[in-house]
Amino acid sequence: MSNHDHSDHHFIVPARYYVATLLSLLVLTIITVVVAQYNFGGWNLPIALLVAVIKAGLVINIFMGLRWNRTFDRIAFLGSLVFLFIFFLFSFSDELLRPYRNPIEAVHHDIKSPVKPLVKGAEHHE
Amino acid sequence: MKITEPHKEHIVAHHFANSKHEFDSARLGMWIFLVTEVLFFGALFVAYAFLRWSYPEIFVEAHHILSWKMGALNTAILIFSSFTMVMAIRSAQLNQRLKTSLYLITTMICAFGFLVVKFFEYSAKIHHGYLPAKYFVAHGASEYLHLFFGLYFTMTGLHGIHVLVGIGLIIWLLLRNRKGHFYSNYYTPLEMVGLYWHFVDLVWIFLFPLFYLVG
Amino acid sequence: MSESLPGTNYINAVSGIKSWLTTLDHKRIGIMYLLFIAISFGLGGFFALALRLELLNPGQLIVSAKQYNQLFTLHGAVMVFLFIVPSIPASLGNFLLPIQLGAKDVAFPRLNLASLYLYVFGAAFCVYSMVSGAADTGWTFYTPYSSTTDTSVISMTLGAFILGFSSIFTGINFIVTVHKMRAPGMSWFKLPLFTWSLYATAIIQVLATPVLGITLLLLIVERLVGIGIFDPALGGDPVLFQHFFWFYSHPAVYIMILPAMGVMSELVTTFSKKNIFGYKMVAFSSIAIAIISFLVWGHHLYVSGQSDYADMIFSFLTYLVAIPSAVKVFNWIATLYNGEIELKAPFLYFIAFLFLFTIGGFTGIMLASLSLDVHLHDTYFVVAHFHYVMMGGTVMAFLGGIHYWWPKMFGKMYSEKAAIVAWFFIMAGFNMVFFTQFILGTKGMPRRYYSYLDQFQPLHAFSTVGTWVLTVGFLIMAFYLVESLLNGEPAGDNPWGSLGLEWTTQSPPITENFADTPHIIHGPYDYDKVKLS
Repeated sequence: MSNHDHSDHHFIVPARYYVATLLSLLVLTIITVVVAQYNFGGWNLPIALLVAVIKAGLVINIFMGLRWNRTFDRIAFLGSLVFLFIFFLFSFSDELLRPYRNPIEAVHHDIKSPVKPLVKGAEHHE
Repeated sequence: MKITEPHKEHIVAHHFANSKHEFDSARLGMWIFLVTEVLFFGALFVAYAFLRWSYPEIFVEAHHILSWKMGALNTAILIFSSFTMVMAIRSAQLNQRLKTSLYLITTMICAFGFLVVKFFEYSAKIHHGYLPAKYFVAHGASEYLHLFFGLYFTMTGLHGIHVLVGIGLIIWLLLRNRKGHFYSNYYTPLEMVGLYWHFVDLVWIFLFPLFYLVG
Repeated sequence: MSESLPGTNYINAVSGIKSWLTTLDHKRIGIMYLLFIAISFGLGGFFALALRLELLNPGQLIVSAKQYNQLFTLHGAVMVFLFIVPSIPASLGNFLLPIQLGAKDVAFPRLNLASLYLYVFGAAFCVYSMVSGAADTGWTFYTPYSSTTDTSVISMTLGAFILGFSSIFTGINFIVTVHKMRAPGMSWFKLPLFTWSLYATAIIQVLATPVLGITLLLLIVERLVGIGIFDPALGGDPVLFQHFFWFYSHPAVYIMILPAMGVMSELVTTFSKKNIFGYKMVAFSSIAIAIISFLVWGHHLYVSGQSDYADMIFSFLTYLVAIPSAVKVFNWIATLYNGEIELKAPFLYFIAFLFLFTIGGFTGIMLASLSLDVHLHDTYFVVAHFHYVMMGGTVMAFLGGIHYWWPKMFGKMYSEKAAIVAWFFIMAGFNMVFFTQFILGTKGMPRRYYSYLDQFQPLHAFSTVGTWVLTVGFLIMAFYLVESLLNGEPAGDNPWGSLGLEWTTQSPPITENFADTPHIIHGPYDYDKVKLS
């Protein structure tokens, strides 16, 4: 129970890592801004997200030092992404597959409500 | 600041075996806190996905209303502040107290700069009536433009609150560093606030392209 | 501190109100949590009594229709957010987790105290909502009603938001404590099963609660400035709110039941003096439940306009929960086989849990099936189902845990005879209240209705009388527990003859739990290998 252990247990990251990361992040920002001036149609979003994910990876691994951390810290962080993905996947795919929420179909078929009007007299069927 | 004064020896809390044990526990706790933050903001991105898929036209219109120059400037500011934050921690690891303070002050100035830019953006939007749904008074081409601004103000506002909290934490770090609390064997609060600050940066890295760039 | 005098313990080590309010000792924080949770249970129970009294006959008896809506909202909100979510983890868990690990405290004692203060602060907002035009939305706060009603929704949601952070702080603390604070020799597979279940609970708390936070925040913003994403009039989607809400609130059901299952594993081994049957399966089933709990929330949305595809996927996934739950129930029963069973008060609650939880679980499987749920959705059948799980499961386990660890927490014994009498009242009362509601539900009685058809009257009246029997049981319990605090017999360090680590320290424990850091050589349930001297 020594309060005075000066054992050098902390890994000090060389400054050049940080400078290189800073420069890469700034360059990537410029890239994403420049690319956004051109219209790639449906590819706009994936390209922007790809650049953002690369930037996020740099921040997480170098600035936040996750690559030098214990395994469980990594598992915990990746776990959060997995569960976020579950949330996204189920709720978004539900929205996607509800026909009346689909604006294109709604316009085409003039569907406003999921409830189909009853055919007159149908309620008397036994 | 009297930097010649010796640092204050850190006393490990009674229930930890040594300072490494204490540091590792704190860092694990902080990462788990960041897990909760990921899901906190992540849920908002799910709402974003829902809106974008339902009404793609409002994003096209809105990205012409938002100023990508302001957004890009703020991105650069936050990235730079993340860099000064890691350098502050590194200086503490090397027992350079004055440098730690200088880097922290730079980080804080960046945070204020971010909020100033944000203030100008917000006031321009508010001036033109681009307000959240119920108070939306501007005349957009698309019917549901008010939904975009509802989400825009919620997400950037929540991010802004995180920046404000970060400023408070950095001030606290500065005061403690002045008293000589941080040195090579103890800089846990610096590391924890650092992780938090990078996370704030991380959220903005996604907010910027999704709101300002992709139409 | 460790060379404390004989007779010193965590209760009398320092005295004065201030020493309690500023304490960092996990045991004192646990005890304070226990007190607040008991008060919340009393409050929620009071609302339940008023509700059932109103339902004694059709039409108005004591409250108006609007007050009735407010009553069931408050009953739900108080019982969920203030009572059952923190119940076992924050009180028993806080007290026992470090002791079961052989640690001196949780990893972050100040965060622990902050969590208690946030709990009180959040509770204050909920109470404020009660006195300033209580919310009438139901505890689920569904939009668009919750964003338009004129009752006090913001204070209630803000309260729940703050309580969420209290829960997150407990979760963070428990995960780090289990990872970092284990005593020498305490390997993962020597952890007590109560600790395993708290660990699984903490995973859910950390992953799900923030989504509740953002949902409630969005609702508050919706009411203040109308962001519109949940409001169909503005182009939003109310079903999206239900996705947001249930992504937390379904896993929250397992925040409630998992610690209860942990208590069960402790009770069954101690009172049958046998090693748990299939330790690893019981431990892993906790983690499995925690993970599966995130995949099933859509079964709350079967009749909300969710897509048919999502209905089918969620229905299929919901059945999966039955597997790890059944693993636990079968393993407890297998543990009892050939055991030296002692029918002490805590064990009676084990039996209560076993029967009531099984009924609750089976009716849950019925509700998971799409075609049946369309008919039973929003009827009393659902009300009965989740009360069998929540009250018949969690509350019974909580009571069992309190009776089991009471001697450790306070060093005093309670009257065993009084405890058995109270148990009979509680069991009888509970089944009177809720079994009736299964029948009501299948006959088509919708939930949350102020009035009903005359043909339901006898069953409703029987259910209401049940609440009175239940109340008598709880009053007896309150009486003998207070009596035990005042004049109870000294309990001794290990009154049940258990092998658990918490029973090796004195009762009540000293501030740092153990005089010397324990070295763990045998598992917590090795009754076949270790003989107590």
